[in-house]
Formats: sequence, C-alpha cells, structure tokens
Amino acid sequence: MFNEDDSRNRYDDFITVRFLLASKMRPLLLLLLSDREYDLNAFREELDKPSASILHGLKELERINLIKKNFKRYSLSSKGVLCSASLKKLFMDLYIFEINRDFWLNHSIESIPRDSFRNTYLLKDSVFVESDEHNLSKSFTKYLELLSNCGNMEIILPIFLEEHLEIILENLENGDNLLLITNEEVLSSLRNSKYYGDLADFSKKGQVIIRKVDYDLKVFLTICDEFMSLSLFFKDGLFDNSCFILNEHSDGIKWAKALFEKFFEKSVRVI
Amino acid sequence: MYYFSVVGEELKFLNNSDIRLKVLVDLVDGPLKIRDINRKSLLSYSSISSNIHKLCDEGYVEKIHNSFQLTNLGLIYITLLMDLRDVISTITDNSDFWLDHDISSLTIDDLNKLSSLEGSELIRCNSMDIYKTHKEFKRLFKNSKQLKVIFPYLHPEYPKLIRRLVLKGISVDLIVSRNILDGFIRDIGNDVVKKGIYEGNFSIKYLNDDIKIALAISNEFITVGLFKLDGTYDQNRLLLSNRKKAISWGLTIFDSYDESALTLVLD
Repeated sequence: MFNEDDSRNRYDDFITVRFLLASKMRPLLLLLLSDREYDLNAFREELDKPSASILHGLKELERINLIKKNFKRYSLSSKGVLCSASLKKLFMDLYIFEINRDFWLNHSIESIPRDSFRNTYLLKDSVFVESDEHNLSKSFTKYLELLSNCGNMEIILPIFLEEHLEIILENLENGDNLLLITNEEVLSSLRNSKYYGDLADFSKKGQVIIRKVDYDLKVFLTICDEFMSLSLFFKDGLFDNSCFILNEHSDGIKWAKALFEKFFEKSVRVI
Repeated sequence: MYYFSVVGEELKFLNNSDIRLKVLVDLVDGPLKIRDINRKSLLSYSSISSNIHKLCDEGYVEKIHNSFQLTNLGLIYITLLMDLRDVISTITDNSDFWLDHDISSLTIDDLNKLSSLEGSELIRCNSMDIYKTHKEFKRLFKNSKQLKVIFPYLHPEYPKLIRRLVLKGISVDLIVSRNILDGFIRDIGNDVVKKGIYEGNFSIKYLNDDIKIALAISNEFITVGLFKLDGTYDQNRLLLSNRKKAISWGLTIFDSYDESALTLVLD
C-alpha cells in the first residue's frame, strides 16, 4: 500500500534542516554572519553566551562548509550565504502566522493556493485589524474607510453587502476602476439589487469588469494602490467580519496581486 | 534576528524530534490513523502516539474521529520546512558549484526561490574532457527555438553560434557587459545584427556594470555559470536543468537584468 523507500527518502533529506533548526545557536551565528565578518569577541558581545558554546556552534557550521575561518575571523562561505538567506526567508515567511496563531487556526484557508504560503515573507509588515469589546464594528468601519479612499480596486468578493457596493459606486463615480471576481451566489444577489444597473453602466464606460468563478470563495481580498486587505471565513463556514489583515506596503500588495492573479486565471468574464 | 526571535522556539520544537517531523510529513497527503503512520514511517506506536499528542497540544495536528490531520499551522509549517529541505538539497547536491563562487549577482528573491533548481545537473569538465561545459553549451544552443542569454565574457565561438541562430530566424535576446559589446557585434556581424533587429528576432542590450553570472535560457533548458571568488569565470562548471520551474527562475533573473540594461542604438 505504501512505498516505504519513497517515504524514507522524504525524511532523510531533513537531516540538514534539523541540524540547522534544532539549535538556537547555529541559526543565530548564520544570521549574524550574513551581515558582516565576526571574531569570537564580537560574537560574545553580540550573543552574550559563553565562548565554549559559540565555538562549538562555529565548528559545527565550519564542518559542513557553511562558514570559513581566516585569521580568527569568521565569514559565510557562498554555500553559507545561500543557507542563511533561506533561513531568513523561512523566519519571515512564518512570522505572520506566529504573531496571530489563533487567527490561522480558527479560519479556513482552503481557498488560498498552497503556493501563496511560500511567499508570506511579503506579508511581514501586516497588521491584524480586530474588533474588540469597546468597538464591535471596529474592523468593519476601518475597512469601509479604507475602501472609500481606495482609487482603482481589485476585489475578490465572496459576500454581498450593500455598504460595500455604496462605496464602490461612489469610487466609480469619481472615475476609479473596478475589477471584481465573485461567485454565482453573490452575482445573483448583485443582479437582483438596485446596484446592478449602475455597475452595468460603468462597465459600458470601461470602468468595471466583473468575473465569476464556479467554486466556493472563502477569501475576501481587496487590493488598491495603497493597501491590501484580506478577510477569511471561520472554519464553520461563516464569514468573519471582526478581523482582517491589512498591509500598506508594496510587498504586501505584491503578495495580494499574485493571489488575485490565481483566482483571475480560473474566472470567466460576466460583464 | 527579530523574526527568528518570534519563530525560533516553534521551529526548535518541531526540529528537535525526528519523529515529529516524520509525522507531519506523513500527514501532508491527508488524515491518517496511527496504524497508517506506523506502516508508512516504521516508527513504533508509542513514539507516534506520544509525539502526535504533543503536536496536537501545540496546534499543529488535530484529531478528527479516529484519524489525525494537520491544522492550518501544521500544513503551513511543514510546507515551508519541506521547501527549505528542497533548497538545502539543491545546494548540497551541487555543493561544488555553490561553494567558493561569487553569488552577488543573485538577489535575495532569486536565492529564496533556489529550490526551483532542484534536480539540476552539474556539468563538470574533467581531465578526459576539458571542454565538456563548452560542448554542452554549444549543443544546447544549436537545438534552441528561442533563446535568452546573459554573457559576461566573450568566447570566440559564441558570436558565431548566435549569428547562425539569428540567420535561421530564431528569436535571440542577448545581454552583455559593455566591455565586450563591440567585440560581440563585430563577430556576429554588423549586417546580421541590423537584420535581426530589423526583422524583430534579435535584440542586444548591454550593462555598464560587471556581470557576474552567465545565464542561457531556452524553451527547453536553463544553464547557469558563476564566477569564482578570485574574479575569474569558472569555465569548468555549468549547472543545467530542463525543468519548467528552473526555466521560470532563470527568466525572472533575465527580466530583472533586462530592465536595467541599455538598448543598443544602431547608426
């Protein structure tokens, strides 16, 4: 039933990963050396650790050719530069998940292609905008405020809410554009709403494109020139209106655009 | 350092135990019962059981009926750890290539996607065939239907190869260092350069800065050559891959050079 050889190979390759990450000293040394050369004294000052444990870590890294020693000074080998860069990326990739573990444990991520989690270092400057007991609509209000200053909009819309459409239409009246991806359910509500005629008119003017996917959407993504926001559904299928991820940096917008593109590829134009 | 201080403890927890990693890897393909994990990994029931409960406590695995499955965090952590494993395996497999070579031409983004080169073949000259890399390079060129190349150095045979391809109507985009630009144009032939540019199947751009990478990308392959730390080009080693991921990695690098390269203005 199972291919044991294949299974064993999948684990054996983890030997170096484990060697690097099962210790705190080894990654620290690689990270420090990625900025400049160090001698033992400089390491001691930086790390506040005894010489013996620093030297032990250095010898281990030297043994597998990740660092080299020249006249008491340590530096990364080119292989070490690559390993150190990969470790840095891993730490930054995981950061967004570690600062709010509960958010990721309680929400559905099934709509997000696994590839998108390979570049989450781009989200490292994000903040979680959360409602609290003093203001239950804090995140909703903040989102509407952001949306009203949005400019050109790219939105993946899995829910139908009149407040969103009011603001979107105001933006369109100001000359902004909208590229919307949604599903049949939301589209049907949209068609039966008072907003559809206006959207169709803006579409004729070339300001609106609406596209549709044939599967259940579980992400609410908004991208503008200035920010990206991402809301998710709870695991029980209900939309979470109390928290969203906000990123106002070009990296975060880049991550969101790549995600948008994946949905775009699987969508068809409706209007 | 800051990001490591946030995630280091969790990574240490997962990597401290071989068994925990094995369990996570096994669950990547979907939920399993303990006896399935036992059959896949050959670990004892008791080791699996105690570690899987620790993974549940830390939020990486959850129990659904009698099976265990990865939580979102478990899936994300093991996906990224498997990526790191692939990068390290790419570096280790071609250790000879990466060690003591100048990799300053690669950006952090390029290095981050190094696992795209997994499974590449390292072509190495030996005493029986001291021109092996050169021959391989020529062979690949000849069969190309479309070519993008970054040349940091001039070899007398390459302009001739390019000339033949351009005359055959094959699409060739070239980026070279400023100091070899004139030599390249002279050896390809001014008339052929003009003809190719006019007909749209040839472009040649140049960079005033030193180029520290040799890159050739076709529809079917990518080759990468690097400079040694002493500043000389390593003619004895060439990394070759025909995988789509590797080709797309190379195209990204080519595009970034292309953006900053200057277009040749012909009289």
